[in-house]
Amino acid sequence: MAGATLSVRGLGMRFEGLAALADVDIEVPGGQIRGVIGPNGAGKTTLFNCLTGFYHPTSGEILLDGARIDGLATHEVSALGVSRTFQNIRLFANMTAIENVLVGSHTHITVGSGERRAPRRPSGHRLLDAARKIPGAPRAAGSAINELAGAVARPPAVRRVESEATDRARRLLQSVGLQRRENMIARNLPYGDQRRLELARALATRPRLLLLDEPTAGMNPQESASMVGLIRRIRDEFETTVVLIEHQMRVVMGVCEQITVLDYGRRIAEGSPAEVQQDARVVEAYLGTRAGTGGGHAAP
Amino acid sequence: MRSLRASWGRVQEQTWERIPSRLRPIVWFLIAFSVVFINRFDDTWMRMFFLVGLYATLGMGLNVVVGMAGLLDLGFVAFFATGAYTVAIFGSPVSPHDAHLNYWVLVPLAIGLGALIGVLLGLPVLPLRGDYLAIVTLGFGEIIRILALNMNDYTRGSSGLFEIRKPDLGFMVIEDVRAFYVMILVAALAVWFVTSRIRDSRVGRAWEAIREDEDVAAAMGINTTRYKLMAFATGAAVGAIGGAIYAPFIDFVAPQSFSLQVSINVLAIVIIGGMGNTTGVIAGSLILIGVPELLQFQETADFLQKFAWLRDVLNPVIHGFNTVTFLNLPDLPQPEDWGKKLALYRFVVFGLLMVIVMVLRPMGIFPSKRRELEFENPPEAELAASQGVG
Repeated sequence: MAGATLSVRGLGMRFEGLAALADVDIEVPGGQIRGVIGPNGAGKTTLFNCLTGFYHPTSGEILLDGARIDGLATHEVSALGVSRTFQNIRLFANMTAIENVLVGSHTHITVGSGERRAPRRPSGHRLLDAARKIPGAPRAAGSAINELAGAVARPPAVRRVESEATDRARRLLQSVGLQRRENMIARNLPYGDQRRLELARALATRPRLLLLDEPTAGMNPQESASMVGLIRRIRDEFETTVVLIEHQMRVVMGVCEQITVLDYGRRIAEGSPAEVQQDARVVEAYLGTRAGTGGGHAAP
Repeated sequence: MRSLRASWGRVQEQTWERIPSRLRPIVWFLIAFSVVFINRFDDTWMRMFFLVGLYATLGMGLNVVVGMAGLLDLGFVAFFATGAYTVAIFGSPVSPHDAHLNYWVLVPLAIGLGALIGVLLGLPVLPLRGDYLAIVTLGFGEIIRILALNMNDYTRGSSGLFEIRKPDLGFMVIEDVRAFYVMILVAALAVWFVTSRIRDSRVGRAWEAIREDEDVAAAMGINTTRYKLMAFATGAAVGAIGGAIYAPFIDFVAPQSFSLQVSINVLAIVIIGGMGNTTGVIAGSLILIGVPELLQFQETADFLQKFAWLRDVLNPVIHGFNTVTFLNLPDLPQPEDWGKKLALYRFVVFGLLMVIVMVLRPMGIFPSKRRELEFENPPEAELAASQGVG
């Protein structure tokens, strides 16, 4: 199973008259490493928030392997295989490293029928959506009671999935180089390790599309270089599509196969790193002919 | 038999070994105390121990909601009331709706209704966080009390329900304080077992993740709605168990027993004891419920007589002070009145005690292991490394 293909069509996101994204089209084939760059405020993180269900886009559609995912709840999108890291690290700060990864495995620590129905797209009316959930309530209550009973009685099946998940979490920590940090509280980890832990946690969800929001922010050149290697390895080993937002051009040029450039919420260029570097609009967006743009990012 | 032994081994390894070794003697002492020495106490003391056990149980329930899932619930009394009223309405001859049901049938009913009300109260507050959640749940606690006061056809309003059928074990009926104490002890142990098992499962981790960062928890595939409702329901079910045991014990269920004070006491127990930690909840309950009761016991008054000599020492000091300053401080009261005075001012003493505990141990008496780790600083080398990067 290679990574999922991502299609973003005519995506728009308005906040009270401010168009954070307007008519954005992005097509990422399965297994590609795609870079999204652009000056501050270009809408990169807004794009990620739309892709993961944090925001519900005001227009356009998002498809993962051909199925609509826009409008779904965050946890439903995650269960379909979209996972992410955050620009300002957002670990579960008071949980240990391995617990963080185990939370990532949440949807995979299940016993019995793992069948899950495809999530239903919301209608857009809150009351109608709430009413639609009523028929499913007894079943939901039953499964919740079942889950609690399983947690208390801990039958062999539950113990088995738990220990499998723990083994897997250990391997994930190992693959990002955190095998010695297993029982450390996340907030006490050094900065670089926190970034790696976030990556391990995102991988634990078994993503088919991995979104990395500035994975090398605040890292020194050596650490950035090792992160680049890690991202490539992850794409190959975990067979996932990777989309990353990045400001360090060295990283972007080093790891991305295709690059999409956003400015003021619009896609202004797309192509291979070499093509994008030559693009006049990109150079303009970064170096600026207008005052106040750019913000110190080294131009390609 | 073999599998039984094996599973007991696991219980030991998962629960007993979690307790830090320096605390184990205290645990042994508590076990010995609560089972063996308890016979030496009279009914007044047993009543206190029962209340300590009851509040410890309630505390463990609220701990699920507040400590684990991080949902600040100030209306916990609603579930306590639900449990008590379920047992009273269907199991009291004075009730207009007496169902003539056995007590043991009513307990699961109380648990179920408690959980249901937990979910119903949870639904509207799902989008709320922090302070807003606290305010709304505070309202719910009051709504239940006022409902109980006004639904005369069911609850008999402020006249209350009594003569509640006692738990019948077949060979004996649980009637006296001692038997109720054993009952609450068993219930507390069961609740402790259940909640600690859930804490160490996928559910417990999901709760903690929601407490830490709800949005990220959702991004990890956790259905936050579902798990928040599960936390409310679990906590509420425990509250209902407490109520179901309290009703036949006190034998008078009326709205005035279910005031905001109960919610606040339970929350204070959870915080004083050390959030997210069961041992702490027990310690908190001993201090918050035990001490105020203790201060009004005859034994305490008798004990104070031993310090009668303090009067002879301190009175001259007070006289001296009065002549130097223009104050007119009264003499110390007669030693035989000390007990009475202490009982009168017991909440002053209690408040002071609470302040002292929070100043000395801001994380609670027994901070959970995790909290201790949080307050621990990372080792030097790692600090240096992180500074190099950050």
